[in-house]
Amino acid sequence: MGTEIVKIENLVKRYKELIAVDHLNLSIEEGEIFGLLGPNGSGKTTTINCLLSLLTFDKGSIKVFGKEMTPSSYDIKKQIGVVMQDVAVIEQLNVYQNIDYFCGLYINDKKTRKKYVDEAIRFVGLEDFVKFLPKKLSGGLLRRLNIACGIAHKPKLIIFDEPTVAVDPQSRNKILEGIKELNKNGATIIYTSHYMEEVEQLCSRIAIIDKGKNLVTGTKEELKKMVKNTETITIETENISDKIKNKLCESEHIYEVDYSDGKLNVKCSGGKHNLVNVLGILAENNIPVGRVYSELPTLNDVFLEITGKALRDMEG
Amino acid sequence: MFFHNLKYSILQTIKQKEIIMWFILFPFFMITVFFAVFNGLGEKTEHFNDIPVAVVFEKDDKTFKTVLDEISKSDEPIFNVTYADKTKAQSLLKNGDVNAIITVNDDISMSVSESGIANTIVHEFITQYRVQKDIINETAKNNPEKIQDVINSFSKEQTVNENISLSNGNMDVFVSFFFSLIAMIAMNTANMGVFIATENQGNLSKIGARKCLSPTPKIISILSSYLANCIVAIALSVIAVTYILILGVNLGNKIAMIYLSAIIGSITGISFGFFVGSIGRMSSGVKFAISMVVTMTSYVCSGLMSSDIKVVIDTYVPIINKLNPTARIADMLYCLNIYDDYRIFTEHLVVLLIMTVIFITGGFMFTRRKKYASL
Repeated sequence: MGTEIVKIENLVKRYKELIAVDHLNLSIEEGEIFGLLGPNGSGKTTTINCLLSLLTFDKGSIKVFGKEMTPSSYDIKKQIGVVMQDVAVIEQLNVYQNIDYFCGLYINDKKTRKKYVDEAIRFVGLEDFVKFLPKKLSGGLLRRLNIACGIAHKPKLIIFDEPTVAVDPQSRNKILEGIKELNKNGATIIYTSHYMEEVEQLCSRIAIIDKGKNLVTGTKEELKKMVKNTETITIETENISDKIKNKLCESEHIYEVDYSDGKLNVKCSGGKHNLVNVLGILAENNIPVGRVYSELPTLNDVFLEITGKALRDMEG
Repeated sequence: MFFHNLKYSILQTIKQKEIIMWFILFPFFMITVFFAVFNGLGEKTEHFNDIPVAVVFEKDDKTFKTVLDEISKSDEPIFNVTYADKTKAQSLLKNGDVNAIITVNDDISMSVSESGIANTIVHEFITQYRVQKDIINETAKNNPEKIQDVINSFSKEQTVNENISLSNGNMDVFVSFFFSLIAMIAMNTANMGVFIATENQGNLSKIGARKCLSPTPKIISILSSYLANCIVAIALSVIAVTYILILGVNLGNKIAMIYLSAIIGSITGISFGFFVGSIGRMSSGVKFAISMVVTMTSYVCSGLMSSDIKVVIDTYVPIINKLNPTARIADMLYCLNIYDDYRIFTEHLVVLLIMTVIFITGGFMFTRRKKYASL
């Protein structure tokens, strides 16, 4: 077990009657890319803001680098970099000045700062835009500037709060590659996102938060094992009668069969030869088979199963 | 860290479109308009014969009578005054023997049979008397030896922009508009103060949140922003006063003190804005709106739009303009040109400095919180 970088115990944050964070526990170790997943309003950003000592909280304790985190923990703050959800750059300063300004809030020495700023510019690929004002940058470039401002001082712990929102695929890829590189260089990363594939691609451990509670924490593999569905088989075919459907349902490991629009969907829980079994049943009954797909559960399936499928934005 | 913040705060401030608009273009436009309008009036000034007026004293007012007597006795009198009772005065007006009736009771009012330039002058005289009544009373109290000069200044006001020399100063009513304008330019900096507060509070701006997350202590961040904005505001005030002087407006001979007043006024303005930006949990937009409304109201109360308003406020609710920094700055500049000594000037200056200290301290008290209940 590595060194514990962040430890949150029994964190409670209330907004009047609403409990935004409900006895939340988290432990993040050195060198991890830790994913914080949750639907809208689940309490991810509130947790991050409490962790950064930006928000007051009602109960619990937060330790960063083994020390109690307070607004005056300047020695801890020096080691933290934050890439916020909203782009927070100064409109009147150009790219270089923005990065230099924010880096200067952490690094006093001019020479070191210049080196760090140049490295940050290269890191996010903004070498050709150093004299540009933020308003002249595209959405993707602006996001990269936002990242550079958050990481230029070479922090040991970097928090990315949905950094790829409204970013084109090329920029998104560049950002994700950059995060991996930062981690490779020794930084511990906390990453929040709505994009499951990003979290799946990046994170070594993931916590799924909903209604302010940490529902589950683990590696991708551990999380996938927690869900009932372990394999979804889709077969393009015709004439699937109820009899065939029932036959399939009676098979071991198959718990749901559905046929619509010429596609047979079979959901399995456990078992290693489900596809062979299903194709065998179809062959026995002389059912012609078209294209066949077998998909393992994604993080998205895990997320939806754990948090539910109801639309959160429509809830009170 | 402090100088790093200071450098970028100055850069950020001078590159803001709002600053260029409201603190450079707008004041220069106002100064130019004021100059063009009043300078034009001056060129059209004509000499005129004394205006026959009837004066009815329903209530004794020795000061006003003294002023009228002085005006009537001068070498080139403005008015030919006939003291009468109400009935006789009305008869004189009806027969065309007088142009207007001035009635003195709790206030001073005028009645005319027809409009015309003579009646406009009588009206302007009454308005100016109301404005300068406080000065006369103050002079009588503090500098009694100057009372005659002050009173004479009324009779010498033969041309609408003629300068009256009092302690080598200038009591021209139009110069007083420029003083109000300087006060307005100074207090306009309040929005800079609101900006300082919002840019340093995590719950009011994204930049504020980012600053709060850094290891730079809040006091350093705020102080450097404050100083940066003060430097810019002071520079702009100095440029504005210099522009007025370049245009040839006679602001008197205590130019250094006028610059000082503009500088102190600017600092008071920023501090006031900082205070407004720091209090309460409103959004930054609401705070900017409050600052605008309060400063605009302070301009009106200080007599920038109409000197009558200031007279009414000074008469009925004097506390308003005692607490109104814009009025304090305008009065400070005005007094500078009336008195030889700096007693009244210093009094206004000290009050402004006290206000500044209160605003800064209050602002810091409210912004010192480092954690927020909500963002």
